[in-house]
Amino acid sequence: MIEIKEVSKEFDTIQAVSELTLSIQKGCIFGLLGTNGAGKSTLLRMLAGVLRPDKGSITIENESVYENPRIKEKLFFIPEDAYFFNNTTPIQMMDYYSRIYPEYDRAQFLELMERFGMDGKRRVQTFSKGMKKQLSILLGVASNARYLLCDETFDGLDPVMRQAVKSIFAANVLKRELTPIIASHNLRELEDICDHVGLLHKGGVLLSEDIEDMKFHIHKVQCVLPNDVMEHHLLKELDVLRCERSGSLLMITARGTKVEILDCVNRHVPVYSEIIPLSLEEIFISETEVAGYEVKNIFF
Amino acid sequence: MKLKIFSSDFWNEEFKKQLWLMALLAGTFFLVIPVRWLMELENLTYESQYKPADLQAMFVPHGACSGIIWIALSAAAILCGVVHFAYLHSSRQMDFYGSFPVKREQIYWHKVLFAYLDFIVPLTAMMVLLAFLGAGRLLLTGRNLIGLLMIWIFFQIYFALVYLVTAFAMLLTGKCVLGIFGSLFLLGAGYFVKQIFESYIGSYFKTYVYSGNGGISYLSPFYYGSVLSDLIEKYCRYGTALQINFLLLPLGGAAAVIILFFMNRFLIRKRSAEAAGKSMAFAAPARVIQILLSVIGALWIGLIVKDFMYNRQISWVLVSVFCGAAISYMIIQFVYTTDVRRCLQYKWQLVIAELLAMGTACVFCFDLFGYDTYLPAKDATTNISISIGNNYRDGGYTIDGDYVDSDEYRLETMHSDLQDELYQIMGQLIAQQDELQKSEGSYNYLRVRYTLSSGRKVNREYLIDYKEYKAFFARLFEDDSFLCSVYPYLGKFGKEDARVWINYAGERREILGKDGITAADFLRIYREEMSRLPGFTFVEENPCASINIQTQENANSFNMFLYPSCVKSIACLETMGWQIEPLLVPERIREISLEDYRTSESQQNEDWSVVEKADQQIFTNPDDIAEIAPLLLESEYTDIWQDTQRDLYATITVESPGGYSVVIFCQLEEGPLPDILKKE
Repeated sequence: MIEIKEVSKEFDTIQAVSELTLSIQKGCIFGLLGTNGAGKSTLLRMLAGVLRPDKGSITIENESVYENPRIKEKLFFIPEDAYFFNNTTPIQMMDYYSRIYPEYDRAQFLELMERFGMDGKRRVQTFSKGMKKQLSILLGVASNARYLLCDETFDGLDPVMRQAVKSIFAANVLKRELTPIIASHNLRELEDICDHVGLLHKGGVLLSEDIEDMKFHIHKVQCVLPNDVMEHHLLKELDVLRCERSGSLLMITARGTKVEILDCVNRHVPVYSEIIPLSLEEIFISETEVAGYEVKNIFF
Repeated sequence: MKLKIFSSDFWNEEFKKQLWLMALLAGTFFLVIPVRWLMELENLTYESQYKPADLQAMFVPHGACSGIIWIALSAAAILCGVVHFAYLHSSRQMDFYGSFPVKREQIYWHKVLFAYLDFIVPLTAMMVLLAFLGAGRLLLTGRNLIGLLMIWIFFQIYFALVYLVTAFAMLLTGKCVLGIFGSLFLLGAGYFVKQIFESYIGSYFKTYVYSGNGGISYLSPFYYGSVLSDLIEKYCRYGTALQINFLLLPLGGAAAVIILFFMNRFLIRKRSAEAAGKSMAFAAPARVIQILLSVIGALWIGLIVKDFMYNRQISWVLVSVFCGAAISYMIIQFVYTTDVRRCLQYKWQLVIAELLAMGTACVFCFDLFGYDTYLPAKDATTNISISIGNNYRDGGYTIDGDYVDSDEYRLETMHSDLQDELYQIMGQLIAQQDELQKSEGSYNYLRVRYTLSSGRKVNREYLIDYKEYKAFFARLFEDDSFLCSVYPYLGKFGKEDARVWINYAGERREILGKDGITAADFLRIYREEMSRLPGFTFVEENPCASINIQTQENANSFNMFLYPSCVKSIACLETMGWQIEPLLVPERIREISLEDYRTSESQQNEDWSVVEKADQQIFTNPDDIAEIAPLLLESEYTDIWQDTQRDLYATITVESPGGYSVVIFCQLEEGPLPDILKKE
């Protein structure tokens, strides 16, 4: 488990991360969302032990990360722009990493390379951006590290590759409780793979929720009620996150299970009512509007 | 390739990655050590003037200690430092190495170890090869072997110093270019700063005497390397005995290496990864460094203006220092920010730089701390020693034949009993300095060393009118300690196996024994006689010959002078077959050719050089010669009150006792001129 407690990081006069608190459970696929400058990369670097937090603590399995080789053996950092040695090949990089990570699985790497159609003897300098990203991911997966820190990893990958990578992640999560932490500014990209999502904004956490929980506990209902009094009573009884009106049609986003919300609506004898499926995007917007943030203006 | 030097596969892999450095150094050392030496040996043997003993003496200084080797060593160390620590300047590489399960300190330790291995393996191989080449050519003496071993140790210390200074610069900065420039500056900074300060001191402190001591120059590894090179040259080429310096200097260097190593270790632990790409890695030192660089730049600009102004006027210098501080500051800010609009950010830094630069310049220009009027407290002074200017320009030689600058030797060895009088005179001289500087008279320089009870030595140089202190100097020449400081041989010399040559009447011959009297006997008589002659003898007689004494095999020799008053010594030489007579006497002078610069004209040559064309007069009439002869001073032997400002120079042709002509160059002393030389 990764515990981040009131972590802050400042670069000159820019507050990149401000008193951020977050927990990441082992074995879950964690999505770290936020716009450019939200603090995602900084947080990932602190998790990887590259940067030292100015305040607060970051612990993995109850041990501090910074300058702790024992813990760092359990994590693998894939930066947005990965570094490779000059005139090196994928095989040579694999050899190099296998000397750093004691549980490195060379066979897995070679198998993955073959599956992705990558030439192990070709110089990395000749790879495209997307191929370099692929290589980074394969090197990371084959390291058998427990935590995989991925910074904007899916950017630059074509849709087929993206699906392939997601399936690798999923398989490794099942097989050995891999905990990928994927930073991105694209919610739609993470929607179908992440179990848990944290939304960062201006160095802080706006929300951190399990996706299924979020989907289970927020619903949107369309209804038409006979009169204003009924409408008023309904809105008072529901835990309303958002309410829109189009003529006599009310569209209410409320917290609660589907059954609870429908029961409540039906008690007010609606002329018409229907539960509408919510996208993750809409859930986010609704959640954060309550907190006073116009998230839709941020990045959707 | 399998490599198993280190315990961890990772470090073996890392070491393999930078083996190209070792290969490059091997190639470089191969070219500059054995190959270059073989080429030089070819040239030296082609010039047949060098005997086998000369080649042996030159083997280590030229083969293993030549300037180009030091340059190659410096370049190698800088290259290693830059290559090993360039990763700190790249954010991608910091992400790469920073996320590894390896401590930063471990990376540092291994980088240093890699550098040492990259260097020591090829260096040792090439020096062993050189030794074999030397042995093959019969140049490998015992002394040379020891010299090779010493230089091998010195090279390691030097390489470590340069490497760690480069690493220090790379750790302090966040951009590779700044790191390289920073390391070059640091490597020469001590010497550069010393030159700046010495230039100001020499220009504005009237009593300053250049001591030649390294001082803060030792902070500069480049300078330190040159000093180590000199030690080897002294030992191998000049046969100097091993001295304490041979131990102290390398130990000092080793201590500096250790300090630098741990300082860098501290920095690498404190350095943040986000410093990659920034100008400076640490904010607080960055301000201090910027201010210091601005001050140095300001003083340097002031120097340029000072040297441009013939009269070194203070106002111009101060204005240029003021402007120089601003210019330096803006340039530094531009280098840091690469944004012209931000050249004047942090104005408080500029103000501090201005104050420091102007303050420093004023200290020199106005002698704010009383350098020129310094006189230590009497009870804090354990010894005052002096060296008389223009008195016997030969160097001082120790009993081992080591050459020491004559002034330094005298200042170091003189412990006269006339301390109270000396102290009083120094006080008087200090009070007179301004007046003497401004007057148009002709004065000499007196060097003084105050040795304080704390052990500190303070050197000064004062203008002096010796005639005012004639009585004192007469007493001083009777002081044994003073005499021994002027003539080293008087105190300690007495070896039986010394060799002596005499230069007389244009001829130089070795004094060999005859009829049971040896050269050593002659020297004992000469020493005793010289120590008893009244002081005035030294200054009022023209010497009739010079004696060249060599104290040991292959050591340098030194000169003394034989005066007509040394009657016993002359008599001793006569018994050995020498006829010594004064030459500058009217009976022997055949011709005086006088160059008169009193009304000379300047003439410019095609190459823009200016020569003075003097009137020339030739006197052969015995009466004219008799009038001029008493004024003649042999210019090689002018003494403390014989240094003349006269613009009259004479070339004298004399007849030696052997019947052949000897040419002697003279000046004319102060005093009334005979009618034949008076100008209307």
